[in-house]
Amino acid sequence: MDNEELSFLWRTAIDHFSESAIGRLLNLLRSLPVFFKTKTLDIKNTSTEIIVNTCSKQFAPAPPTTKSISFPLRRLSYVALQEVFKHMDLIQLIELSLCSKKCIQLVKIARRNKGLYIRLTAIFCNCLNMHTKNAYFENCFLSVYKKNQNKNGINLYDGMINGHKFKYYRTKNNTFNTYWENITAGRVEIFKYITDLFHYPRIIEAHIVEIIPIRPLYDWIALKYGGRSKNFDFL
Amino acid sequence: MSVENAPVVDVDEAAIPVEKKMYYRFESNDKKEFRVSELAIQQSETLNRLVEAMGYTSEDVENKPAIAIENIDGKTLKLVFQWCEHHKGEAIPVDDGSVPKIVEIPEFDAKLMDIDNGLLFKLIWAADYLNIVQLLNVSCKKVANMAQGKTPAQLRRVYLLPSDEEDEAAKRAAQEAQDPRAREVEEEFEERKRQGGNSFF
Repeated sequence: MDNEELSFLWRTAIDHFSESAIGRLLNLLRSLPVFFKTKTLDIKNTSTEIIVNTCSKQFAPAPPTTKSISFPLRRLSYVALQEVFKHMDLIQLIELSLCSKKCIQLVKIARRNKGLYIRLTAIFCNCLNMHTKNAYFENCFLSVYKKNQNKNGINLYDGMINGHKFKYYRTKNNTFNTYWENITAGRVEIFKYITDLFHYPRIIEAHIVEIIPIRPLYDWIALKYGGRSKNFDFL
Repeated sequence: MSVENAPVVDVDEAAIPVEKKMYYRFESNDKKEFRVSELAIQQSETLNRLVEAMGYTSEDVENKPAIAIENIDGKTLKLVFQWCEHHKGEAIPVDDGSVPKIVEIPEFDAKLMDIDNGLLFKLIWAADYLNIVQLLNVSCKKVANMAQGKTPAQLRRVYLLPSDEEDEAAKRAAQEAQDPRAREVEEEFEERKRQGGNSFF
C-alpha cells in the first residue's frame, strides 16, 4: 500500500468522522512500515493521538490551486481605476473610502459625481436621511442613528471619520446605516464626509424640522454651499 | 459554333481572385509571435492606428519583422488577441456618460478572464495601453464585482489596501531605507568641501 492510497483512506475516514474506519486504518498503519516525508514514525510504539496528529498533517488534502485572491487596485492606471469605480455603486465607494486615507483620495480622484444630487431630510432629528441619486438612476440612503438604536443585533463594522468613531452596515435595500455615540457630531461629520467625497453634489432639498440640534450642520451647509442649493427648506 | 457545341469549362472556384484576409504579425516582449487578423486589430485603437500609419501590404507583413509590442508579455498578449479575434467586427462602445453604463460580461469573456489576479491586472493594463474599450470595460467590471458583499476587512484583503497605520509604517521604512544613501551623499559632499574642491555642481 503506498502513501497515496493511505492518504485516500485517511481522508475518507476523517471526512465521514467514522471512528471504526479510523480505528481500522490505525490498525493497518500499525501493521505496515509507513514512511513519512517529515519524519519516520515508529507506528507500532506510538500513541493513537500522535498518529492522528501526524497523519492529519501528512495526509491533509492538497491546497486549492494557488490563484491569487488579491488584486492590486491602487496600482491601476487612472483610466482603469475610473472604469472600475464606474461599476461600483455609491455605497460600495463609501465603504471603500472608509478603508484608509489613501482610499479616500482614490475615490475622490475617480470623480463619480456626474449628475449626483442630495436630498436631505431630518424630520425628528434622531435620524438624518440623505438621499443621493445620479444620472445612472442609482439611489442610496444614508441614515444616522444613535448607537443604542441598533436593536436587531446586526453585525456592525467599525469606521472613523475625522477622529469620530462610528459603526455601520449596509442593508439590502441600498441603505447605509451609521450608528454614533454622539449623534450631533455624527450628522455633521457624515454629511461633510459624503459631500466632500463626491465633490459637493447639488443639494436639491434640505427638509429639516428642528433646526437647533443640527445647527452646526446648517451652518456648514450655508458656508460650503451658499446659495447654490435650491429648495432650502429649514422649517 | 453553336451554344450547344461550345466547350464546357469547369470553373475552379479557388482560382477566382478573392480579397485575401490580411494577418499582421506582432511580437511580445518575451519574443512570442502572434498573427492577428486585420478585423480583430480594429478593436484596438492603438494598434489600428499603428498599422494604418505603417501602411503594410501582405508582402510587407511576411517579409518585414513582426511589430514589437515591448510593454506586454506573451501570456497577456495571447489573451488580448484571443479576445480581439472573438469580438472582431463588433461595434466599439462609446461612453459619453449620457446613458447608464450597464456592462454584462459575456460567457466567453468570463472564461477568458478566469485567470490569476496578477494576470488580470496585466490584462487590464494591456487593454488600457492598447486602447481596447470593451475589453477594459469587462475586465474592470470583473474587478468591481470583487467588492460585492465584502466586509471592510475582506475589501482590504481583496484589493490589497493597507490601513493608515500600515501606510505610515511603510513610509517610515522607506525613509529609513533611503537615509543611508542620503547620508553617504552628504558625507561625500562634506569631504569634497574639506578638500577644497568644487561641490557636485
